[in-house]
Amino acid sequence: MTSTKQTETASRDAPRGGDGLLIRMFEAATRWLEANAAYVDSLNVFPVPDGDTGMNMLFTLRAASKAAGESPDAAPGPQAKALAWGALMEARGNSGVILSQILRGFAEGIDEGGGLGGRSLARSLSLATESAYKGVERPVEGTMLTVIKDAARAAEESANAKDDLESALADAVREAEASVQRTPELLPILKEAGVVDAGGHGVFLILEGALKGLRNEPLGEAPPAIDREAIARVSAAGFGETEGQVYGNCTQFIIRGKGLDSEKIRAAVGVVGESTVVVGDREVVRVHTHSFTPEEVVGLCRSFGEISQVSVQDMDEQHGAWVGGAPDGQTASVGMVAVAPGPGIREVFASLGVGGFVSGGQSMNPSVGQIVDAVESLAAESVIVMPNNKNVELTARKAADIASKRVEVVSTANVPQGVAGALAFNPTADLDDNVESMRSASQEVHCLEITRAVRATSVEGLQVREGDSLGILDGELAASCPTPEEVVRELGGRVDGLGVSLATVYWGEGAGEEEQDRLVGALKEAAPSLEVELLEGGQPHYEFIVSFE
Amino acid sequence: MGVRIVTDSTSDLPAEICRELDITVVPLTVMFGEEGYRDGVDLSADEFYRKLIESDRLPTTSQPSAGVFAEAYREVAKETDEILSIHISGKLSQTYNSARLAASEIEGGSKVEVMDSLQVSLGLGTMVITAARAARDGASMEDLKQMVTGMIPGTRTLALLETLEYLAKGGRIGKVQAYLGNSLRPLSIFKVIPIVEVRNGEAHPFERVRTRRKGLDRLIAEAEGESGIKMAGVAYSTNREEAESVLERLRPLVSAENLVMSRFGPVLGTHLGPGALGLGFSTG
Repeated sequence: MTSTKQTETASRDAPRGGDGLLIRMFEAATRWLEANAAYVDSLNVFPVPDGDTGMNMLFTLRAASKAAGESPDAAPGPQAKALAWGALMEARGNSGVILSQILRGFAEGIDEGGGLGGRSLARSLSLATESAYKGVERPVEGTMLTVIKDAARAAEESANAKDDLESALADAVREAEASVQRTPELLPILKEAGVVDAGGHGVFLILEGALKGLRNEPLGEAPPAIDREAIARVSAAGFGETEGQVYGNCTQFIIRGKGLDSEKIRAAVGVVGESTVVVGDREVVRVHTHSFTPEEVVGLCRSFGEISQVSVQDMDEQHGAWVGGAPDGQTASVGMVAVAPGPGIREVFASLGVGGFVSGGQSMNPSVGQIVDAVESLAAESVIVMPNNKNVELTARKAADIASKRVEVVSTANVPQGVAGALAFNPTADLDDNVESMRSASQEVHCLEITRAVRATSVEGLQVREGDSLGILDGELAASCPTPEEVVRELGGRVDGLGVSLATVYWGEGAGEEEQDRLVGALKEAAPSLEVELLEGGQPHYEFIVSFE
Repeated sequence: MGVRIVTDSTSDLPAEICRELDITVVPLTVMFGEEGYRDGVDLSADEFYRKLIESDRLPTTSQPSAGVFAEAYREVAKETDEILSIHISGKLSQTYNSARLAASEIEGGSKVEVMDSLQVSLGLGTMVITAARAARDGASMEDLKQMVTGMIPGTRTLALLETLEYLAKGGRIGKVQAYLGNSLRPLSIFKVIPIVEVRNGEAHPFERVRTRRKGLDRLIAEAEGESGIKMAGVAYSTNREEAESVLERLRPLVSAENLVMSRFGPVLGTHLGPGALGLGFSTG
């Protein structure tokens, strides 16, 4: 129930009929985020050239708007659904994946009907919040999760007072802005760096852009980049995951029907199954669970729709088959997909049996759709995905959810972890055994990444000058020096203390021959017994990635 | 007159243990071109590995003929009328077939039972030692057969290789082929050390590592992960010091009299190549 004025504006400017208001709001939100993306990118704690939050959210939102615009049905419900699907397929980086979850929940709310009003907006934002929290295993406050939650609450209070779309959205925007300002209080790393959360700020911008679209206001100028000395950017703030113990039969199947409710199905299956994943839309969902009574799970789901592609694997039997030696032809065929930031790194993965590749990694996060494509391109029945970057992990997990094959993600945070994982891959073992051994192998290597500081800052007491070589040891910014070899010298004691015997140096774009020689020299100086191998990695931004094992 | 144990040279058992336990070892043959050498008889290990490294052509190996087995059985039958003959996996070698053929031809009062260990090298070796000790203590043929059958599932042989080249060229690569299938474009600068396992009679891929140190750690970790190792052995092709270091690390897991150090004989050496290190153990 919109006000007369808004309804008029909507029908006057809507691209398609009277129902185009939602599209107009999303298009404005997209353009507004676009104008501010570079600014959002710059909000990152580490001064490394991988600030992708703004671009990742933009790619995701753009795909969502585009999908909604191309939807043949201009009614808000179908458009919202199209939007959610578009976002899911193009989601990149952690922030993009969380945004896609937000949009998915939002779309569910819109799809419930009741027009586009204050109440339905509040309802949709509340569903968006739920969906976003569910999208991450360990929600962290002071991030975009908190901002969407606060905005949803404000919209609800507003709609309870007066069921008006514009006031509800305006209140949500105001509260989102205030919430963004509070993020440093919730996330200490932000406070130390003196910045607000980048993803949270992105959520605020999207809501603000939507309000501008609703009001038909000009978007205006994006604020100038804030003082770079004073800011730092948000790292992917701990969106890790804890893998639960899994028991029983790995049970998978597809349900086709009308008006399928993933949440209801998840709740129903959850009664008899563990680690339940239900993904899909209202017409088709995939159920993946572990249960001692798979027949019961399948039977239970018959009430939701037509069941197909049932696959039940006894995990104990799988294990037994491996120990006793599976007969030929019965061994499940397992493939690997790796995200590779450079051609040389890709070659190394290929030599280890990786069959599917997705380009990207640091500063060019691949989308869910790209990973799904790589997974589907393999002949293997099940696939292991190695994201090789912390900011690609969630994208990989989403891809695993929606791919038609059984997909497991071995959460490799960098290239060395990925290579160690691929080395441990056993082509004759089954998926679960491979995941286990690859996971544990990937944790046995250490990684030093060397890149250039894009600006001066101070991180955890470390003074960084623009153009400095930054040494990131196992994900922690450990040294900032004028040259890569000085980084190694600075960290020499720690490298030596790792007790490793082999260093594999992947040199990237911008690392010349002399620089390589000097780096190798510094490594040998730091740990005289260290064997050093030099390989062309071809990765951008990171002059050197060094694997220690 | 108790049961006497016969095996073949792929069990890689040290000669003194065989003498002590009255184990008869039938040698396989290694051919360098036209020249044939009986495993462990005509060619010392050092001579063999030197030839292996220097020779342009890889040697080939062949099983003992049924006649050689029959001769061995007749010799042993002079001292006993019950012989238990335990051999290398029939999936890796025709040795077991030769032995069975010979056993069926033995006439007179002697009974020869032939068993496929589904193992090789010290995996086979630990089974043979266990059986020979039990035989010395008076176990019956039936008891021994049951004992060996019972040991098969709990016996493993792992080997750390310097290269897969020898295994591939020797034609016994089995499921380890999968590692090669992946290396259509091998990166010579990106060195990979494969670990293979003999399980269910065949070679399987186990894991790949980048350094020998890590590979040795993996072998030890596998042994440590087993509960109750009864007997273990370490075999090497060219690096004795490394094998000794592994043996030392096994001491906390296995009592001294059940720990064997040996060298891969020419047959295993041909298929595993220089730089191989093996670990065999049984929990049963």
